[in-house]
Amino acid sequence: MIGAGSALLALALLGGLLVLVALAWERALTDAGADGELTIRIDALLPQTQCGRCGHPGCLPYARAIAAGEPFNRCPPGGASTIAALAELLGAEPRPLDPAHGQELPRRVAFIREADCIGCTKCLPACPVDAILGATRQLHTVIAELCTGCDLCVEPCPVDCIELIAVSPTPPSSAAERRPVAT
Amino acid sequence: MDGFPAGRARHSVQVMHQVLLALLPGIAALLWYFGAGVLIQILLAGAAALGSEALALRLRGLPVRAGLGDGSALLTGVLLGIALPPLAPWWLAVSGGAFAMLVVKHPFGGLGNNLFNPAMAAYAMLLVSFPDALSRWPAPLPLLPEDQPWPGLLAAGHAIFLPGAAAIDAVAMATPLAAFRDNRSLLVAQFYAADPLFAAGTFAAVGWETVNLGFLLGGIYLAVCRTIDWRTPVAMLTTLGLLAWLWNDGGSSASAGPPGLHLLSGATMLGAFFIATDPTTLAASSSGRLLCGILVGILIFAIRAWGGYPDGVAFAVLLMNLAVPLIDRGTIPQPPGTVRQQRSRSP
Amino acid sequence: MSARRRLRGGVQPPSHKAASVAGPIRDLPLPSLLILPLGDNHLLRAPGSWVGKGEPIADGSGLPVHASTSGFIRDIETRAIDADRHGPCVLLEPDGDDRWREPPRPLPIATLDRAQLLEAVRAAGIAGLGGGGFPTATKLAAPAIHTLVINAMECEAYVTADDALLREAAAEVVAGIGLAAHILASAPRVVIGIEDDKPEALAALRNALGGDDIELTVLPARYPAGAERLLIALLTGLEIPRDELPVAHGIVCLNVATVHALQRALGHGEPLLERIVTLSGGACREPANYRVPLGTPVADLLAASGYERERCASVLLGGGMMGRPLADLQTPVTRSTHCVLLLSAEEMRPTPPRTCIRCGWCADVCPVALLPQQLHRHALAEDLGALARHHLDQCLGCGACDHVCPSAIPLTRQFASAQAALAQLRADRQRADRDRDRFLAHQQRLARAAAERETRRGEAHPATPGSDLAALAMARAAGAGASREPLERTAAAAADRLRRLENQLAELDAGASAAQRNALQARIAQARIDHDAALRRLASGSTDAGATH
Repeated sequence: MIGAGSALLALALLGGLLVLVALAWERALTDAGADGELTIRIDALLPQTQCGRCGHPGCLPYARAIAAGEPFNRCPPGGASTIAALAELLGAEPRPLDPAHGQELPRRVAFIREADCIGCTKCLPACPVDAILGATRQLHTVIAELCTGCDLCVEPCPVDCIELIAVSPTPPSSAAERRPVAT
Repeated sequence: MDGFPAGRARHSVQVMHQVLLALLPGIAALLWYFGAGVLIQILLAGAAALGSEALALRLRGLPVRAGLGDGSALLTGVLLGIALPPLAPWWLAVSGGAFAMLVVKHPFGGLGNNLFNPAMAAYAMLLVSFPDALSRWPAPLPLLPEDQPWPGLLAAGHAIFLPGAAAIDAVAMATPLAAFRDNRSLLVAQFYAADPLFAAGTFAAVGWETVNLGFLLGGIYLAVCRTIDWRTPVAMLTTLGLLAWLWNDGGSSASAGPPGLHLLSGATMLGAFFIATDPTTLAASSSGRLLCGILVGILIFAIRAWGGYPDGVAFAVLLMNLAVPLIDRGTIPQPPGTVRQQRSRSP
Repeated sequence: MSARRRLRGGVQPPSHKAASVAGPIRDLPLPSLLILPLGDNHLLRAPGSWVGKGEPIADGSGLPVHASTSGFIRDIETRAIDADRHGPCVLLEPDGDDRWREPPRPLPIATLDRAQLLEAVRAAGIAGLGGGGFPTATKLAAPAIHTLVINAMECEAYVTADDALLREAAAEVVAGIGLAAHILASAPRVVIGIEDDKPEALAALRNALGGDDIELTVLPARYPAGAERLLIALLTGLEIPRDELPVAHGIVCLNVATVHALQRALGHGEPLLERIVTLSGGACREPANYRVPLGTPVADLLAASGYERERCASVLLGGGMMGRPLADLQTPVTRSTHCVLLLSAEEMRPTPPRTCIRCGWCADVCPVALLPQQLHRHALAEDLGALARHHLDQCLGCGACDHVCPSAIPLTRQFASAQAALAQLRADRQRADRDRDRFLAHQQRLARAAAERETRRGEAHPATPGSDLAALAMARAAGAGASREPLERTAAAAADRLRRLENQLAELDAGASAAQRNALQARIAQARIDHDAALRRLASGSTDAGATH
């Protein structure tokens, strides 16, 4: 077999080249959608609760800090899924949530017990997404649909009339589980 | 029991059986021209593949009987047996069948999940490990000497199971592709007239052209039944024929071979209809399948014309298999009424 | 004339249609209880009161609910309303008289304007009877409609309700088409699409059409050519994206049963009280079409046709391709119920699903050019990104892929749950985007307010227009903590809160559940962390303002 060795070599080279091209393309295709800066891509993965548990005043500042090298396991509202997504983006190993910053809880919304509210307006500026409606000596209320459940309005309330209640997660489509007829 | 009306056309087991049926004309031609050794190779490789499949299923804790019953292991073994030289020693078929199942198929997740075509990966492994044994084909029936009978079961079995003491070696002959490759000085027409294989043949080499036409017949049957996608073989054969026509050089001594030679020699038709179309290792979309066919056609021609091996079907298919994930990624069809949007990472 | 093309993909399942359409449409004896889904409505009559046939008993933001027969309102209960949903339902006990409150009278159509006609259509409770259930008045209210497509394509296996209707009432259907075109008021081109496998219905329709200026297009029977968007594409050549409505493209598509109901409502004054339901399947003794009062439990429909429990392996709500197994036979017949199937064991999927061999037949038959084999693979891997890339959201759920899969994999069912997961993910993303926008707006507002205060104090701090307001806001947010007084207040409040929570835990009696206790402990842990953080910040006396940039 003349040239069997060189043929093998050529084939191996060709194959290797193809793999390299494939990998390069795969990378190119994957990265094409990522618009620019790392900070923005990190911010897109954060839950936007704006609670500040990570030690930064909002999700965008924390995204900046992560881009600058801060640990990415300090976001309790995002929890394990956010950490996993960040790990994938940053090419790092996922880590458990840092307990020093809080625990992962189910999604919650703030609720003002209207009987106790004195209309002091102290909670209004605390809300990072302006989801509390109210005026001086008027009853306040939380627009539940807009509330991120960040907890920041609880602290300023002088009469402690705000509590966070868990919202039932959206039930999965019932189409997912179809029971057969009992026969 | 699930609420789901029956009435689907075919069952996946029937699919495998249909493919086996479609192989029959080609196998019959092989048998006629190259002797009963073909049958022994198919049985050996089939048995080895089934046995290894059973072992693999058992090791993975999967139901063995159902796994063997799907026919996929048998098909792999039969394809490998067809690809092997009819008088190759028995351990080639056996180790090839085992390799296909235990190394190529099951480590990647078994049926439906393997990255490479198991039969071709096994054949390629054998080819690079035992190049001499894999290139020793007997002369086709019309070219056997007067005193040499058609190798029956006894003679073939003797050659296969007692490879040391084989009298049949005497009639071993280069394959048409190898013979054409070794031609350095003659014009194509001169070579066709001088070489006994081509002198006795109608379109290309005697025997080999019939075998290829047999597989073409079975392949057309499968394509008409829509068991295989017609796009891959059509794209592959068109590409191969076109490239051969372009590089034929008008039949000079430097010719890479006329289209007829490339289309009807070696494993061309087997590869086009039975190997490259293996859906597990083929791209998913229609355009992807077309691309796969073109890629295989180019690679086969490149290996035959400029590579180190006379035939390149196995390597071409394996390299195509390697490109499938990428092709799949780039050929997602656009549903009607939607606008192609920017590729984006986020769903 | 029109860009008529072949349906992409599709299948030709055994239709099983002949049996149910051999005889006339049958009437059903009045059931002992009617179950009427309330939807987004409130009850108009008190429980216990008598209502006449055709009387509205609930109305509101949904379509009005009418009494299908005369009787007494019993109660509101949560009941199964289709194969996989529950909802509040009005229970109506028929009195057996089937007496109208007031006899129906034709509407003076010529004297009514468009708004009045639309209100009449809504008040009659008319919705798409082909299965979609979309309020017809909403469709007809669309402006600038250039084409009215009438769907007489009954491509689903077993179903013959529209076929039977056309055989017996083609004239009323044609009158209804005229009404629909009249209400649209834009003189639309009218096209009827009908399949070639129901010659009797086609002949009846041709006969009724006479010399009307209506195009009748006979299409080859191929599933799912009757799906709204696919039919529109076949008849007009217009591809309507999945996330847009046909009316946005100047097309209204109505089912023949819907236009028939339109004619009953306006031409006779009868609200939508009944519909035709095909009862068929291998375990059905007498396959036929029934005229069924809305709200009739499926069980009563089965009883009327001699339902034998032993012979029936599964009851399906819907046709042979898209029907869903019905768990609760007390599920009522609603506007979108066109078929109930009693399947024998032989008609069921025979074997458990096997491994996908990627044969690709599913991709060949997919009418919207998806790659079900790839979707299946990515759904198993729960790779939502890949599913979105493969256009999972375009899946119609038609079941053509299920039908041809040689490995008997329940693909559409898998895709439905994957679609739900993907929709959830998208909703979360949208929510996050909105929260981000609101947060930035909040920060900018604070920054503006601060800047205004500065200028009021007369200090030389001219606001620089176009500067990074978000950064300004961030600086301000950081700076707010710099003074000691708010920090002290924060720490005190945190300590107070921690104390309160600990008291709550102490007061929690022994009877409290573990879940309650855990929840409280989690909140205490959180409060402790907040408290510690506040103390730390107080101790350091400075903020991490520098770290944010």
